Amino acid sequence: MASVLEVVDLHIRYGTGAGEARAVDGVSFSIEAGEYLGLVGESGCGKSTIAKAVLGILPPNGRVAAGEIRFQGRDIVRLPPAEFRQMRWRDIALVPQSAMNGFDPVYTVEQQIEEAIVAHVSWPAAERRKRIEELFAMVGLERQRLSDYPHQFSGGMRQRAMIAMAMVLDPTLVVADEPTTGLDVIVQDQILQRIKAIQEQLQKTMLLITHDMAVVAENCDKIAVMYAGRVVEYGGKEVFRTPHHPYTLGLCNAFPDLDDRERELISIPGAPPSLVDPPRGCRFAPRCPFATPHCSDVDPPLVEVAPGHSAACHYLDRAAEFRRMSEDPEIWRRAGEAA
Amino acid sequence: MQGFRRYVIRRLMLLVFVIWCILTIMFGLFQLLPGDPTSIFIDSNFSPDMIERQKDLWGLNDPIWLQYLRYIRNMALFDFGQSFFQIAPVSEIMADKVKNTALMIVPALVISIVLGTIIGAIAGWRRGSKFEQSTVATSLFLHSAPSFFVGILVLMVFSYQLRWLPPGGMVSLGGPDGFWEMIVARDYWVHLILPGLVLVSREITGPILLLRSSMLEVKGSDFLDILRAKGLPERQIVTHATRNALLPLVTYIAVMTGLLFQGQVLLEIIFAWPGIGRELVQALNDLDYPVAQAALYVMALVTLALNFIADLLYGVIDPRVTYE
Ligand SMILES: Nc1ncnc2c1ncn2[C@@H]1O[C@H](COP(=O)(O)OP(=O)(O)O)[C@@H](O)[C@H]1O
Ligand code: SF4
Ligand SMILES: [Mg+2]
Repeated sequence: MASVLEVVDLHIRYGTGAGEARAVDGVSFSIEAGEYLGLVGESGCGKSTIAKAVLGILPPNGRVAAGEIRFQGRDIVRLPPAEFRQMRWRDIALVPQSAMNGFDPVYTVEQQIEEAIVAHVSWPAAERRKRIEELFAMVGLERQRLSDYPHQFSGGMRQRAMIAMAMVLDPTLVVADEPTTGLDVIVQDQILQRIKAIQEQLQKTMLLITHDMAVVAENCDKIAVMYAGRVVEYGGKEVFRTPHHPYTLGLCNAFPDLDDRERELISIPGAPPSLVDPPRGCRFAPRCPFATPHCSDVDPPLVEVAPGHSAACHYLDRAAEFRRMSEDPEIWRRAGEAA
Repeated sequence: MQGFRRYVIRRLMLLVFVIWCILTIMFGLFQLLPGDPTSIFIDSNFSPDMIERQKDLWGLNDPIWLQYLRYIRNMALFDFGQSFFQIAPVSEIMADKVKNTALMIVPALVISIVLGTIIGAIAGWRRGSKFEQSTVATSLFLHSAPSFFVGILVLMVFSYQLRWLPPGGMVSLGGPDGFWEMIVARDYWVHLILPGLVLVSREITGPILLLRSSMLEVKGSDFLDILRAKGLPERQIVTHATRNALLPLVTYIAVMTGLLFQGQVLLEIIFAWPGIGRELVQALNDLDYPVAQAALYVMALVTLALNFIADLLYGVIDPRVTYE
């Protein structure tokens, strides 16, 4: 059977005043039925762009320049717009980054969930109402709040309502793009647990987008690490158990570890490269503590390091050594000064 | 709801205060105007004795504060007295003129707001299109064209040259009379075309430019992405965006109605429309004080009332407005 979602060598570009930005530059990954994939990487690496392409809501200046997005075997990039529109929300739903502004302020929450139903199926009003109430109960919201306007909800409630709205048509795939951004820590945790519970209960296929490695480690069973428009490491839980790419090592250092709360958090110094004019060799080279002249010259391909686990670095054979060395904050600090 | 009631009451009190201020200023102004009614109304052959008797009759010899109180009471009760020249109570004249002016303004205003909203919303939605560019250019041009000039121009072309439309007036001689007869009469609508067009050409530019810019703002909102992701048809997404872009329009309509009477006076004169603006000018010319005073007062009242309604409407249309 075909994967639920298969992204193949995807290239997405944005037209900008300074030239075309290659926001996504040859990304491939796949999600099988019931899998929970985490897409992780620093802000600006192209995660939301992928989510938008999967939902067909790229802005007017963005375009899929090459590659395929196959949903259950069909390439949705080249689908006629009317057909794609019918698939949205019914087959692929979104829990957005911006729960705060994700609802239209002048319509009630119920109206907005209801119009998603009406756009795709012809249930009678009573059945629509029943379904919405059922979902409100599932995400722990009182049904009296249905007729509220979005501004009457707290941030956490709004995001729970968003989750309810995403689930309303029982979609095959749910994309959650930084679903906890802007919420306070305790609420963040509740939301993630809620999503995880739904995923397990309903055996949902999910794509979770986040910049937080710890969130992925805790929730997902498959990980794609992105850097500057590319996937640099990809695989199962091994990706953060035995990371191979120096960028993944850096990300693991930057977020608190559940088992080792004492560990010092080290953020990766420097900033990602320009996407309009990316460097020739390894894109991480300017910030990598292990970079050699060869790295800035030749682009490392994504190669398999174990079955189902791949990484894009010239020195994969030295991964064990890198892992040990990367625990030393000094190494990163020095790389930052060099850059 | 409690808060809303308190808000309405506060606004009403403010309204009454403003009306009182206006009345007081008007009272002062009319005291300052040259001469007194007797000098216009009373024949120079009258003996001083007769003049005094007439003044007594009108209360002009009473102390000023008594005159003031009587004036406030009369205005509050819409008792405007008698016209010096027309054989009718001023309140009746006012009712008739307000009706006539409404017969020009209301259709033009409705068309301006509805059409302007649609055009402006589409222009904003299709940013950068030919449609947007030509709409903005046309609106700016119409906005700056003086309406008396446009009025005279269309009269010359469509009435005097082409003879397609009547050269003014509200109905033909011996035409329909009374509100309902007029609205169903073709004659009235034919007379309305030219002044209506001129009025629309001026008033429509506001909603167009406003909707366009507030639509541009709404276009950047995150919720539109979600609506698209939900697979809603484009038309429904535009409706969402327009409802959001509409919010500033409500405030604007209040301003628009406030400014309306300014140009209205000129238009009524150019098109010989027997409305309240033309009546005011006529009355000032004739020194027909009761009529002039009542016309000013009624125009102020209408403006204030429309503002008040627009204010309340804002809370209805934007659920985020609270009155706590
Ligand atoms: N509408 C746009 N026009 C031009 N560039 C964009 C646009 N949206 C995003 N980008 C650029 O594309 C890159 C990827 O953005 P995004 O996918 O939002 O990253 P992420 O979600 O990982 O933070 C960024 O460098 C961003 O500046
Ligand atoms: S290829 Fe070189 S620069 Fe790139 S990650 Fe590996 S070691 Fe670092
Ligand atoms: Mg993002």
